[in-house]
Amino acid sequence: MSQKVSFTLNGKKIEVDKGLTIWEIANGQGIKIPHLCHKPTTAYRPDGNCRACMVEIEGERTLAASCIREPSEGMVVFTETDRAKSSRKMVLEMLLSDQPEVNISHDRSSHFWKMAQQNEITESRLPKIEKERVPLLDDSHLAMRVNLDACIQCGLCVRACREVQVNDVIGMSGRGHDAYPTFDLADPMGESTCVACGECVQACPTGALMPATVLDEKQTGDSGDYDNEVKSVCPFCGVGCQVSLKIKDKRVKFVEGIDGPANEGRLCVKGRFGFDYIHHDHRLTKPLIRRDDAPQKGLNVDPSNWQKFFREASWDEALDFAADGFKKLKDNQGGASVAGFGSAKCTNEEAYLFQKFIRQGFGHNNVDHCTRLCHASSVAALMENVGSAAVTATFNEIENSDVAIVIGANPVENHPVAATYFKQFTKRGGKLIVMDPRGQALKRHASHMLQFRPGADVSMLNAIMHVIVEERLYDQQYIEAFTENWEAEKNHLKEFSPEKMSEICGIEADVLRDVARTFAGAKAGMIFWGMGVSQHIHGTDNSRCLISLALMTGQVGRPGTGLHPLRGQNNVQGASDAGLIPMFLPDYQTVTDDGVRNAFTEVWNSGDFSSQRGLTVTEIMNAVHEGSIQGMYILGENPAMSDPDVDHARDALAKLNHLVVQDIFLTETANYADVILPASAFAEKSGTVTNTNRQVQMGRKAVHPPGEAKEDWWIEVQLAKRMGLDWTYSDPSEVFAEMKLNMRSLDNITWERLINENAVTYPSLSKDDPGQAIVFGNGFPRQNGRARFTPASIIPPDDVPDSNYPMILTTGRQLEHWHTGSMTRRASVLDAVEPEANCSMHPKTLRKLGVEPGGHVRLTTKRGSIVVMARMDRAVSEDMVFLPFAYVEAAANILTNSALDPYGKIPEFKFSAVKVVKA
Amino acid sequence: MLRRLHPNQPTSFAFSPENQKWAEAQLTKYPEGRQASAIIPLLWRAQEQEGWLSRPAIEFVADMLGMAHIRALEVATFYFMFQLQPVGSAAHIQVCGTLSCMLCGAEDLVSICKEKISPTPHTLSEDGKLSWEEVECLGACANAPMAQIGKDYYEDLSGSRFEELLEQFRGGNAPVPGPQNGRFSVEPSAGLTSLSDVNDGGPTANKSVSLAKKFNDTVKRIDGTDDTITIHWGKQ
Repeated sequence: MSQKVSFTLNGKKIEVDKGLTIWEIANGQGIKIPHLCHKPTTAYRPDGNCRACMVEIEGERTLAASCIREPSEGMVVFTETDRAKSSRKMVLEMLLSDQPEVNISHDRSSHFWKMAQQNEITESRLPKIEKERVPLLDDSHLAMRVNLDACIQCGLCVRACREVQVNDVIGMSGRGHDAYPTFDLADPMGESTCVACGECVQACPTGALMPATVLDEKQTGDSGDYDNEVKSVCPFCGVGCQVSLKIKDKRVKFVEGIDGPANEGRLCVKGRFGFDYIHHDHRLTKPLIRRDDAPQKGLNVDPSNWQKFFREASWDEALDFAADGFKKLKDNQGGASVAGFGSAKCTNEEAYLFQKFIRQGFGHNNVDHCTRLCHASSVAALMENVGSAAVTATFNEIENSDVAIVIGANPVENHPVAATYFKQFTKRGGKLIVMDPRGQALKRHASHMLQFRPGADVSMLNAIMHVIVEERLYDQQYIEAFTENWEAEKNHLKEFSPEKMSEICGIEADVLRDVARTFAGAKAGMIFWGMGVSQHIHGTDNSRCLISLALMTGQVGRPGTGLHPLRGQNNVQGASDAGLIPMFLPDYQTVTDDGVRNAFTEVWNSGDFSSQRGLTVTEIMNAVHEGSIQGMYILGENPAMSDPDVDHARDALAKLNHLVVQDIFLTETANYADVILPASAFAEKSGTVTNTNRQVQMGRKAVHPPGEAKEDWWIEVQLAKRMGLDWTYSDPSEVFAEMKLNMRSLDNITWERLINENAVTYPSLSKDDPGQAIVFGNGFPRQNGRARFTPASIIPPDDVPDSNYPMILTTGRQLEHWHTGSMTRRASVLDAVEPEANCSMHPKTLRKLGVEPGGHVRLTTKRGSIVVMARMDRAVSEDMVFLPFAYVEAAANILTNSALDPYGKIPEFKFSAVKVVKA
Repeated sequence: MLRRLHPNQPTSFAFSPENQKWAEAQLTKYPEGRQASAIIPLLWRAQEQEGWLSRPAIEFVADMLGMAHIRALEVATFYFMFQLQPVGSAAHIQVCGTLSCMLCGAEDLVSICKEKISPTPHTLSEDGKLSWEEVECLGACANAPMAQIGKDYYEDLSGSRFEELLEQFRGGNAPVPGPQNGRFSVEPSAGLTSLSDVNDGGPTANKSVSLAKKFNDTVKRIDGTDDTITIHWGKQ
């Protein structure tokens, strides 16, 4: 129980929890005390600098700022005395004197004007600051405007940048009346190191910092000028930030973060400013059918000029055409001739319907999605050793940790909002151990930075575990209670002394020992990983090591402990949960189990499909080349960009007899389509999505799809009906209800709850349990409740450098771009910030090649060759090239290796031998 | 007053080898991870080296201490002691403009600065040799009016004496600091009224003036060559 304090507020004796401020308590009682520098949300600490919230405390000489003052026992507080009221009014009047007139102000609905109105302050008797002392308009940034004539020096933007997002770009420079928010070394915002998260814009109470889309050329605007507001979820990464979309004239005008469990109001540049792709000219608005006289299939269609290749069709014609093609193949060649790729960007309901469509309609399990290309190996290792593929703790749990490992992940760019929590963790003294071949942005916050040789993960992790065994730093009690196969693991690790391994991984033995002691000595430690771990032919082994490390130190199942593979797509967790996986039905129930299949066919009211595990993404592409698969239904995926050895994948797509692509844009994959079905973007439909934290969240329709485009679930249902399936869904809620029948993970989570609460974490133990942030405190969902140690041996990467291809190519994402770029490269702000395909290399390497930063290089691997702009980056090792994969004009996957991890069937995107020459 | 970075900035900054050694020694004063504590001494040393704090200098110091650039800028723009624009190559004149000096004629000194150096403070004279500013109380009220030039105080100034001083600085000389009207230090201007024999046969100038004469460092900048660096703290 929390401690209580009783005090008197405006003559009324009340008892409250200790730790609340007078402002918070008064606010809870309905007393409106003005506030400017205080932003009453969880993420912001009160600062008490503006003095607009002064109250009188009996026996004290001066007034007190209620936003930072906590009541003490017996205190007598008055909020409405003449003295307090006139003091607060005076503050507002003084600040008002420097403000632009309300009707020409930057934000007519700003918090400041609301406070002025509430206190009946409309004009000021004080002189205005001299004009030449006020910094001029800063419109150097594409997405934001800085008009410091409205600045009241409340410091909220500084707290936003420094404490909430931990970017440390904004500060207050100068002093006194001339102190103003400043970026870096007084740079214009657009030229500073600002990452455009927009947190400061959302925090600013006056309109001094505003989204550019809200202001006109005269810099006047009104943040309250929208028709309606829709609460939904960000469509980009797996963090699952909750957003509020402000809609004006049927378009999204601007976006703000709201208090979701994962983001607490925060957003990143993509979530806040990357929304306008949905209004791009390239949006598909009508079904398209390939013309009879179209040129040969190839990557040859311009998304803004497709008329030579496709013709517009009615929905009926297009759906008939799509379904007839599938029926013909099914009748003549058998159901196995048609395969499907679903999408991790659609809703849970759509993912569920998609796998049901393939399984029920074609009688096999050849249905997969892009999880195969990202975390399949993590899922394989987690299923094998922990018994569950989801995270054991939310990333927000890091607030209770004292040590955390981040390996093979670059959250600052790929999960920026999660990264803010990591950075805050280090600010309050947490030790962050970063392991990455690339010296990435988290390095600045790390206590240990292990920049190991690419592909040497297992040797490094085994060496760390070797030390833990050797020095008996393991948690014997935990091991005995909750694990199995410990002796084998212990024996296996004997071979991996840090001295021996340091030659392989390039990290000194002393450092490995120190990391081992630090992590094993933690009261609570967490492990986060990303694609750098999973996208290797030894990806499953990498994950096995991480699982073993957590198990032997007992770092699972308590607050601040756990295993957390950071999910990439907004709904990759949900799509996997919903069964878009060739070996699993929803909730990872194996397709080989007759009982499991029975349970589903009973609900589906149809016969058995197949007890054979299906083919994965890369295997399906091979089967197309072999000719056994001739038709495909691809929903929202872009294998023509995302598959490894993408030339191979493109050839496969061209070879298909019947390709149905359902997407919002004419993607590279749609280039090869026989029929294209125009779908809806995330903001245009309703449904649930599940983020990396296992939080099931409600996405709501904010705007109508353009033209005749339809919601994805509707298209799926129409196709199914034409395939002769008995589908009658008229709303996603009906699909959700059906999913619940065979998905225990959704117990206690209902559509109505999600409508009301926006988010529920699974597992949820009762009707009003918001969900369990941490799981497996009392054992694991395996036999005897025990997790397993699986020893991992060293497997070198598949495509190692030699004299012809002497360097190492690794791929990844950039902050501004998402996945294959089909969305973000059509978002005006994002594409303007990062418009050109680029790669990064060490300055020394560039010098050796004779290439200036900004010059072009040719990258060649055994599979292909591209020309791309080269950027200087000290974080990349001298023998490495880092290449983002968002750019069609220089597609990284022309170069990458399709060699697979034997368990997760994930390709080795992170390691290819490459030759680099000046272009 | 507005404190912003100067529009014309040099392209780079680096400490001289001596100053670099000194700066590295300062870092060892603080526990690991708390190096930012050395921000003010390091910025000051950079200013001593160049005469003013340039953008590259602030960047250099911030990087050396592992600080976000904005954090160093905040410090540099907050303290008036940091000059954010070039100062006179011969001397920067800091005229005390607070109460006692004001009553005793500081305004005349400011007028002379405006006339002889530049009409606005923090602006180089045409020949680039001098610059000036008005500062808050320097604590030499008994010798008002006065100005700090370089490391030393020039006190008991009259307009004409002040003009002479400016010319001497312009000519590359460093005139003797201290009271300029013949006083020893802060005794009554008409001479001692008690203990009048205390200094008989003693020094002819007060302690700080004697030191200035001895080191001849009135407008000399600290560059690390004048003293050996001793690190007498922490682990040796």
